[in-house]
Amino acid sequence: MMNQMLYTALTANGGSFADNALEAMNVTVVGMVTIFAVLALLWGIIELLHRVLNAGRDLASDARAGGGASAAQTAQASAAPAAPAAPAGEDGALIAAITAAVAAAMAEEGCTGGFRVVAFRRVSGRGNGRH
Amino acid sequence: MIESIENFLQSTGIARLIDGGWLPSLQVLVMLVIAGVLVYLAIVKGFEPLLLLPIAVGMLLTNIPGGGMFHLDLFLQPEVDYLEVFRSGGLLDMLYLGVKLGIYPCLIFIGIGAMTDFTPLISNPKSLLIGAGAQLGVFVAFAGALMSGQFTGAEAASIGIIGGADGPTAILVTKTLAPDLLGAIAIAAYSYMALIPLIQPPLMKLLTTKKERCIRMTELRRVSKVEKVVFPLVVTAVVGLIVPDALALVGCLMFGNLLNVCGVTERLSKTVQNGLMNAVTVFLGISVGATASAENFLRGETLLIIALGLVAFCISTVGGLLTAKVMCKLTGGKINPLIGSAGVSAVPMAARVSQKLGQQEDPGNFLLMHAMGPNVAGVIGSAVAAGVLLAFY
Repeated sequence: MMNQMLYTALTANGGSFADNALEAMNVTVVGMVTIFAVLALLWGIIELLHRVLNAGRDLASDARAGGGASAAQTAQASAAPAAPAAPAGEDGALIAAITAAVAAAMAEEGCTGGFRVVAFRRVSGRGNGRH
Repeated sequence: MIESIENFLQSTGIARLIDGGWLPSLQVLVMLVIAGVLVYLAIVKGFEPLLLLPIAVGMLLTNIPGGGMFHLDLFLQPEVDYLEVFRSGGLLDMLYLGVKLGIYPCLIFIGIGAMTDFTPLISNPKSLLIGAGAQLGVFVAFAGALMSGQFTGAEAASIGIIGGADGPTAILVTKTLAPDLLGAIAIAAYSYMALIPLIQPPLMKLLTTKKERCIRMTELRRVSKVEKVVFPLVVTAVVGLIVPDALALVGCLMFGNLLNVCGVTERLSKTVQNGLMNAVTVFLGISVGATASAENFLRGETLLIIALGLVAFCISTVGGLLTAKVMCKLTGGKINPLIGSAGVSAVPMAARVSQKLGQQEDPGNFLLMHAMGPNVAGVIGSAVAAGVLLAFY
């Protein structure tokens, strides 16, 4: 029985076991190397793209700052918008986080214009568990 | 009058079942039972119902004697006579043309692309390597099938791609390389995808330590709209230039994603995500199920295919986990290896399994978005693996 199974494994698809093993090894090695190479290349390109775009954004923000524009007052929806507008105080970090969330939501809804935080007001008491 | 009644009785499926001999009749009954089991799994257990139910119905329709709805032999010729298909084919023959010509898997990939958020991958592109590592099962199962001596290289490649955990990719490869195995391979692929929450967790626990499972990963960076728009174009160009055989799948996937992220084709994006995707899913499922006729499905090879498919799935999971473990070491413990199992491309179920296991160890640990990176990388990886196998055979 075992001999018959072995014989089938060796000859059924027309090639010897050694031929099949060699073919399997070739395809496996080439396949895995190709997949890793393609995806690693994509990794590199995505990183490069990120750096190039960030560099462009940094240059643009430098230019705005140099021109004396009041850009700091306008929180852009794209990156860390709230920090300049957040007032100092014990809740500053919380306000910055909420403002950033609003900016992110606006960006997702396609609102590209900036906004400025003029005032804010607590609507419920601290620690009552309702917000 | 009596002759008319006799003729009618002779034309019934029951008479044809009895006339066919006891073995073919038994095989047909077994197939009807299997179709019933799939219907049960889809409706009662909720295992991939959107595809398993149409597959089960296709299987039912093709195995009822005398229905004449599907003729697989028309498509197994080296040169398909399409005129003959149109002249004498049944409804399922017409629908199967979308499989035979590779149309349905690509249309489904457009829908998947539109539904998939690649932001976690763009934000953490290292996870592409995990998606690559999780293709190991494809090639191990391929090697196992080939060395078993039961399958040709083309058939072994079709079996191996089950490890990619991607139904449309498995169907595209199999319809090209081994159309007579399509029913068994599609059913195995979708069944294992549905069973991911059972298959993966034991392997994930076995290959990771408690300390590793508790690693909290840093927050993903924001991704600009420009990056989101450029990403599908870059992926299409790079994959297409290196592995042209994967272009049909990857190109459609990225086209769908571009429709979603560009912001000016919202109507098209919604259409491919809903109407188109749903219609094609029905056509694909029912015509794939139709290939599972008794004479094609009830063979010793089917059991071997199902066993090898499980091996492929497990090894792919292990490959992803080991790659993530290596990356964890190299980054000084910044990557939780649990996200490695999400490198198989069953989106988003595999990522959810990573999240669930992570939270079992540390309820405050949120791995879902981190696992989505390898998860969508696995979709690209399995498409590339398919392209490599198609290039070889």
